[in-house]
Amino acid sequence: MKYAGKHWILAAATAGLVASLLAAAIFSGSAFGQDQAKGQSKDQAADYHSAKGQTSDQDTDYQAAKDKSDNDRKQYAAKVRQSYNFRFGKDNLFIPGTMKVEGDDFVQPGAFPTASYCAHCHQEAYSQWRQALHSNAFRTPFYRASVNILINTKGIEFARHCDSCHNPIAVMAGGLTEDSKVDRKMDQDGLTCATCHSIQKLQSIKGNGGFVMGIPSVMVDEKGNRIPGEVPYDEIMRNTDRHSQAVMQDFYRTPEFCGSCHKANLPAPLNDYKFIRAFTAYDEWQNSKFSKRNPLTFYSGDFTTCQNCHMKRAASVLPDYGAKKGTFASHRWLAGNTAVPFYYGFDEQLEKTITFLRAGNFLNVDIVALKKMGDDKMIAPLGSVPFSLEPNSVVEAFVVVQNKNIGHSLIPEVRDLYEAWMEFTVQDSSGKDLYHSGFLKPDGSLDERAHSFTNRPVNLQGEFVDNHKVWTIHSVAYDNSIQAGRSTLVRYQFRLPADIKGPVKITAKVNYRHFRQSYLDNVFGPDHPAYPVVEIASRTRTLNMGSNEPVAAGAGDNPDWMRWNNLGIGYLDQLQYADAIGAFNEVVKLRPDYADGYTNIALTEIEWEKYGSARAGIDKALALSPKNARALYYAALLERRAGHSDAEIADLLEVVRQYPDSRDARRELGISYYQQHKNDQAMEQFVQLQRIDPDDLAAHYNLSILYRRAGMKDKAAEEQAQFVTKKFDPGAPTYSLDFLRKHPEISTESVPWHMHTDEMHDMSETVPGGAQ
Amino acid sequence: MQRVFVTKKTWLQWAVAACLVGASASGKAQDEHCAWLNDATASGVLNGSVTLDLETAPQDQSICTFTNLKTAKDYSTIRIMVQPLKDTTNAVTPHESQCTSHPVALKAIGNEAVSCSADVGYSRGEQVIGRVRDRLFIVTVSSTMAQDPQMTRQLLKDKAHMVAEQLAGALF
Repeated sequence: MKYAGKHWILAAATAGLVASLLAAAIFSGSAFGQDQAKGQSKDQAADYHSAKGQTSDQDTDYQAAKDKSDNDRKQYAAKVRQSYNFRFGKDNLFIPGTMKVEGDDFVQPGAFPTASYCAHCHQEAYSQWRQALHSNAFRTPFYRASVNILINTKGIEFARHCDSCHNPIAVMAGGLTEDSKVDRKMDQDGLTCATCHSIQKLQSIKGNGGFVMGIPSVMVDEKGNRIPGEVPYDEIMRNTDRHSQAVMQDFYRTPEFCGSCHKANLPAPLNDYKFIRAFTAYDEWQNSKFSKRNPLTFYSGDFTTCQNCHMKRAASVLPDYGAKKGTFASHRWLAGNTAVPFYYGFDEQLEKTITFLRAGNFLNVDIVALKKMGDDKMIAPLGSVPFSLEPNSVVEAFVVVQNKNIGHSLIPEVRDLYEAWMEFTVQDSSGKDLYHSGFLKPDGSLDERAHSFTNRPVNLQGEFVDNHKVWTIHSVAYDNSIQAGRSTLVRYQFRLPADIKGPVKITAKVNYRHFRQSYLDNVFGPDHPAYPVVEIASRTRTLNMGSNEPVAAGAGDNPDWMRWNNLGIGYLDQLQYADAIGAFNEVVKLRPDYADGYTNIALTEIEWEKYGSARAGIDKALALSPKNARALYYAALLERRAGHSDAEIADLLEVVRQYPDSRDARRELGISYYQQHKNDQAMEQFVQLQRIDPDDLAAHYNLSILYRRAGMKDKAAEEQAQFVTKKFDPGAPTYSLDFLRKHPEISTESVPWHMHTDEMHDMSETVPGGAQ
Repeated sequence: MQRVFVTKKTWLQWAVAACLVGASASGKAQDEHCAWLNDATASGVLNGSVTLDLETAPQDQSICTFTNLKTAKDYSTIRIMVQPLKDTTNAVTPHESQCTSHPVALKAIGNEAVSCSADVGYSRGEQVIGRVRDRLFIVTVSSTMAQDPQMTRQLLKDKAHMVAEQLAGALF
C-alpha cells in the first residue's frame, strides 16, 4: 500500500544511531520534561529528607526547601517564557483569567502534590473527589467540546479564561500556549487537592478565578513558614497541627472562596466587545435569604453557606485523618450535574446527586389556582375552596414554582447548557393525556413550547449561541431562571372533553437534565444514550367533574397565606400589579400580623408608581415591626420622593446598621448623600458598595464623578472606564429581537405574562359565552 | 514523499525509523506538532525524550508516532492514528482484528472504545481503539523493553488509556 503525505523525516537514512540519540537529547521538551518532574512526589520527599539531614535547624530546613523550590521555579519559568504567548502583556500571564500566583510567575506542575499523595491519609476525601465535578473539571467531553472550539477559533491563550478554574495547574504551568512544553498529565485531575488547598487569599469577589495561589505546601515550620512541596508522611503524622496550618485556611469555609470560581464574566479581552456577566452563583447567594446580607428578600432564613449545602458532613466510610467524630465534610460537592457521573460510570456519585436533587425542600410546586373561561372568579387556593367543573370547559391552571431553599437561581450558572423545565399534564381517569406540555420528543429534545427555566444568549447575528461559545454572546433574548427565594407563575390552558365523566388528574413537575439535548448531540453526535432526567419536585391534584370540596393539604404544601404570597410574587415579576396586590391582600387577611405582607403591597405599588397608597402599606408594616429593615428601605424611597431627605437618610442608615453588606441599601444611601452634596459620605457608601459588589454600575458611575471632584483623577478615570465597559449596551436588544423573530415557537417565553396552551385558535367558537 | 505503508514494523524497521526521526530533530520536524498530544506529555508517558514522526495515510488517516529510543533494540513508542468515518455505526469492531488479546470495552473514553493488546514480535503493546463522533482513533503504546518496570503490561495499558483520554479530549 502506498501513501503520500507530510512525513517529517528529513535527514538522510545514513544518519546513525549516535546522531539520533544526540538529537533526541536536545529535542525540545526533553530537558524541560525533567524540570517539570523535579520536585514530584518521591523526589520531593527525598529532597526534604536530604535538606533535613544536613542540619537540625528548622530555619535551615525551611530555607533549603524554599531555596530549592524557588530555584526550580525560576529555571522552569525562564524556559516557559521563551515560547509563551504573551498576547495579553508580559505581566499578564493568565489573562483573560483573573487568577494570580504568589511570585507572579509560572509554576512547575511538579510543585503540586498529586491527589494520590494526599490519598495516603485521606482515603475518603480522595474517593469522593475522584467522582466529583472538581476532579473532572477539565477532562470531561462536555467541557472539552466547548473549550476546543475556543482554542480552535480564537487561540489557546484565550482558554486561560476558562482553565483558570477548570485546570489552574495547566494555566500556572504556562501550558496554555501554542507548542506547549508542559506534560499534561494533570488534565486527569482537574482541580486537585493542592489547588484549592494552596490558595492563600482571595483577590476580590470578581470571580473568573479570583484567587491568589501559593506555592503548594503540606507543612509549615515551627515559625509558620510554608515548606514547599511534599514531605514524608511520618513527618506529617508527627506534626498534624502544622500540616493543618499549611493546607487549611479559615476562608475556605466562606462563600467568597467558592465565589472565586462560581462567578464569571466575559471580559473584553475575551470577546472583543465588553464586560458581560456570564453567571454568578455567588451574587445570587448574596442576594438570597441565606446570606443574611439582603434585607429585601421575601422570606428570611438561617445563615447558610455554599459549603453547608454542597459539603454536608456525612459518616466517613474510608479511613481519613480529616474526619471528625467519624464524619467528613463531603468532597463530592453534590449539586445538579448528573452527566459527568453518568458518562464516567460513577454510579455512587450519580445516585447521590439524584438523591440530592430530589431532597424535596429546594422547590415548592403549587397548582395554586384554576380559572374557567367565561368566569372571572379565580378558584384559589386550589384545594382550600369549593368549586365545580364542567365538561367542555376551557380551564386555566396557575402553577407557582417557588425557589424555596436553593441559595442561588434555578437554573444556576450555565443556563444555556443545563435544562430545567416544567412538565404539565392533564390526564383522564384512564391515564390518557388530555394535555401535555414539556414532553421529550422521540429524538430526546424538549418540546419547544415547554416552560423552561433557562435563558437564550444570542450573538451579533441574532442566533442562539450554541455550544457555549460564550465569547460571541452579545445579548440574552430571555432569562426565565427563578432567583433564590422568588416564585414564578406558569400558566396553562386546556380544554376538558365534552364527553368526559370521570375525574381528571393534573400534574406539574419540575424536571432537570444535564445537559440540553442539542448540546449532548453537539458533544457526541446524535448516537449517544439518553442522559438522566431528574424530577426535582411535583404536585398532582385530582379534579372531579361536578362539585369539588376542599381537601386536606399535602405534606409538602405551603400554608395558604404563603401560597397567596408566592402567587403575588409571581404576578409581580410578570408586571401584573393589580393581581399582585390582590394576592398580597389575601396574605394580610390570613396573616394580619405579617409585616412583610404589607410591605409586599407597598413595593408593588412603588413599582406601579402609586406612591401615595404605598405609604399606607409601609406605615402598617412599620407599625407591626418598627425597625423592620425591609420596610425601612422602601420607606426611604418614599421619603426621597416626598423630599424628606433627613428621614430618607435616617431610614437607610438604620438599614445599613442592620445589614452592613446590603448592596441595595449602600447604593441608595450613596445616592441620598450624593443628592445632598455630601460627597465624602457618598464616596464612602459607594466604596462600601464596591466591596460588596465590585461590578456595581452605580458605584462606578458615581465614584467616577466623586473622585474627579476630589481631584483623584486616576481613580476617576479607572471608574469611568469600568462603567463604560460594564454598562448595558443599548444596541444589544436588537440581537435579541432578531432571534425572537426567527423563533416564534419560543418567542412568547420572552414575554413576562404568557400562556401555554393548545387552545388558542378555536376556543372562542366552542365556549358558551366565551370571553376573549 | 512516497513511501511504502507498513502497519506492522519489524524491530529493524523501528530502529531505522527511530534513527531517521532522531536525525531529523534539528530539522523541520521541530516546528511541527502532533495535533492531539504534545511532546512533553509523550515524554512523560514514555519516561524520556521523544522524537515525533508525522504521517498521513490512505483514508485520510493522520498518524503521530512518538519514539523514545534508548538503544537500537530498546525503544518505546506512542502511535496515534485518527481517521474520519463515513459511517459511525459499528465503527470500532472491524478494527478489533488488530488486537492480540480479547478486546475489553472501556467506559468514558470518547463515544466508545475498547482496550486490547497490540504485541508485534518482541514489542509488547497495549492499544485503545475508539471513536469520537465521526472520527476513529487508535492509540498504541508499545515497548521492546520487556524488563523495564515502567513498561509492564499493566503500565502500558494505563499509559494507553491515559493517552487515549487525552486524544479523545482533543477530538471532542
